[in-house]
Amino acid sequence: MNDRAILVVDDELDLLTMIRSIFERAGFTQIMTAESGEAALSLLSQKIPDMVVLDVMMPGMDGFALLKEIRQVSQVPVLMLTAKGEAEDRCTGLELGADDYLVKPFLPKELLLRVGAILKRAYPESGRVVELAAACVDLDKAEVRRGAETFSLTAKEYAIFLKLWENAGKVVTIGTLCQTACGEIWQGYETTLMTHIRHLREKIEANPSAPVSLVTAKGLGYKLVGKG
Amino acid sequence: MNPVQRFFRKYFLSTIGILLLFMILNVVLIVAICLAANHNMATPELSIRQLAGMVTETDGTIGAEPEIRDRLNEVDAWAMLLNEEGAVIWSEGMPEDLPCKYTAAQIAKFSRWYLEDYPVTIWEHPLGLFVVCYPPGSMQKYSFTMETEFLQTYIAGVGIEFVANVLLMLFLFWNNSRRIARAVQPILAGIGDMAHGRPVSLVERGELAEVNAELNRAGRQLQKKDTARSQWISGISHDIRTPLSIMLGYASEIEDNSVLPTEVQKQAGMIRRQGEKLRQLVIDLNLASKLEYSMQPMKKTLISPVELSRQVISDFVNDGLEDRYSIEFHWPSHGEDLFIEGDYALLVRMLHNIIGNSMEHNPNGCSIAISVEVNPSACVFVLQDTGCGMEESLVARLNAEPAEQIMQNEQGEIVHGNGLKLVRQIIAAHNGRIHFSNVPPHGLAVIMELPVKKQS
Repeated sequence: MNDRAILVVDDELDLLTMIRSIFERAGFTQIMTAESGEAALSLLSQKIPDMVVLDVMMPGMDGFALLKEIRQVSQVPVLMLTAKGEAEDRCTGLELGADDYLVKPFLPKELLLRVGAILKRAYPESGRVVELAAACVDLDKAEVRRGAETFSLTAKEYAIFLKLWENAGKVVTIGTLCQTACGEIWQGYETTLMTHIRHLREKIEANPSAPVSLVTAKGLGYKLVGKG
Repeated sequence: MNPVQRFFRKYFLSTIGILLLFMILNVVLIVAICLAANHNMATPELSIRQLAGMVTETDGTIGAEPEIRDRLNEVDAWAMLLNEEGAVIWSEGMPEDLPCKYTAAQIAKFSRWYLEDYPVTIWEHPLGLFVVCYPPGSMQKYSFTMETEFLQTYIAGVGIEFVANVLLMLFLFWNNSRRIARAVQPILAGIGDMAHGRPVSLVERGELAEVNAELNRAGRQLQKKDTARSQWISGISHDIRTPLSIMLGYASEIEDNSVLPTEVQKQAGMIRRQGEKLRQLVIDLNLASKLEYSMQPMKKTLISPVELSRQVISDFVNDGLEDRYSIEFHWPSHGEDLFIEGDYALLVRMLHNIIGNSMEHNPNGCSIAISVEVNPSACVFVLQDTGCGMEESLVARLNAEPAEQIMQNEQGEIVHGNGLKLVRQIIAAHNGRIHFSNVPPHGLAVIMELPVKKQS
């Protein structure tokens, strides 16, 4: 993932330098920067990066105008940086085709997490295998290998597992998991979710009654814990 | 009944009271005047019946008690007794120039009017007619004759006229009060709007058009000031965000750079933590100002309060909840089917701030319990911690005073952050209620009620 080319566009030179520093320290090797929308367009005409981090408020061509231009030629993932934080700004960016937004001021950790999540979604790695305490989950094949046994994941189990994997180490709420499995109207699905979780545990845990990989956060949801 | 209606009802009732008071006062005055006039009469009243009783016939001779002379002299009056033929058979103090016999016509005339300018009163006596004459000019005599039917109609008419007058007067008073109330109502509504920061738009017509126009102008001015203030805060918060990003970014970089001395890393950590506080302050300040001046558009959606609580608590857990804190969550059975209508981002901020407040005021740690409860009309979020609670005076202020004053001490200095102010503003924007209280043996309880959205 660290070899992905990222273009950062911001009119604040200090911020640009800092973002470059954050990425480079995190191991990214191909960071390009542009101080204006026009400069960014010029760079984009030469090479489309793997991702664009774009400030909304810039003199001349602003972030929204640049995003429109980008979307005419490419579907490259875009993370919008906004200093306003108003809901309208966020909606405008998302409606124009941005993949996510980050409100200033932000912590380096937040920026890296958002960028990492977008890259993970946009460029899924082949041969993705999740190592758990008692099993390995092959995301490409939707299979669980535990010892000599292999179990297939159903579509719902796969969707739930993928959501937990995308947020590995974090509590994912019951509502979020229900929504992942059955869409916007998820109320009344909680019992079915528990059944899916039980089936998942039967496939990935050595002892489903004492889970160590798919653990319950009491009253809140579930958390996927990787190996080690 | 609104305060204006109450005011005009009181005004109308007080007017009726004043009228009644006037009427009673007038009756009392009339009686008093009558009594005073009677008391001050130049000719003390003589009892003609008593006087007549003093004149008697004994053995064919008509005589009177000696007292009658004194009684008549007291008022300069005189008396005579006429027999059946009209002849004077007894007299006391009678002027000599007056005749000693009277015809029936003369008797009829003076009994009604005067006897040679002497006002006269008469009384039937066993011997004839007893006549008392008063000094000329001491009495006025009027004859009053009226048909009974006319008199009855007249008295009834006067009564009806009086009642009609009173009713008409009351109706006119009531009608006038209503007209004034109707004219004043929009003005008072405009003042109310202004007090609540809402735009004022009154119709500039009618007798009070000028007042309405002035209120419209004042409303526009206030709105302009509010907008300017909110935009100024928004601008400042926007300008702070980029430098703060750089500060937070480099502080985090230094904090995580293991090549640097530990002391430097610690110092960078402190800068980062303070920067995060500053970030929260900027976000809260901006939001609070927008809510205060009604410039935050509410994006209301149907929200599950149970899932909302889970999300906020999970955020705290995922951000690395320190060991000295713990958060528990309780919800009712079928709680997931419960919905409230609200702005998701604002409600997240509300719960976030209320949990954050418990942590901030209990640096030594505490257990926090969040529960969602349901009553017939409201969804109730309850936070209860095992911390040190709050001073009772502050609890009382949090429950009673307007949000902006909670943050200030007696000297008007800011003593608390915007966090709780924002919570109260968000609750108010959702037509909810909030109540703070200390719980024994120690700890704080916050009850937040929001209207439940009935599912169709």
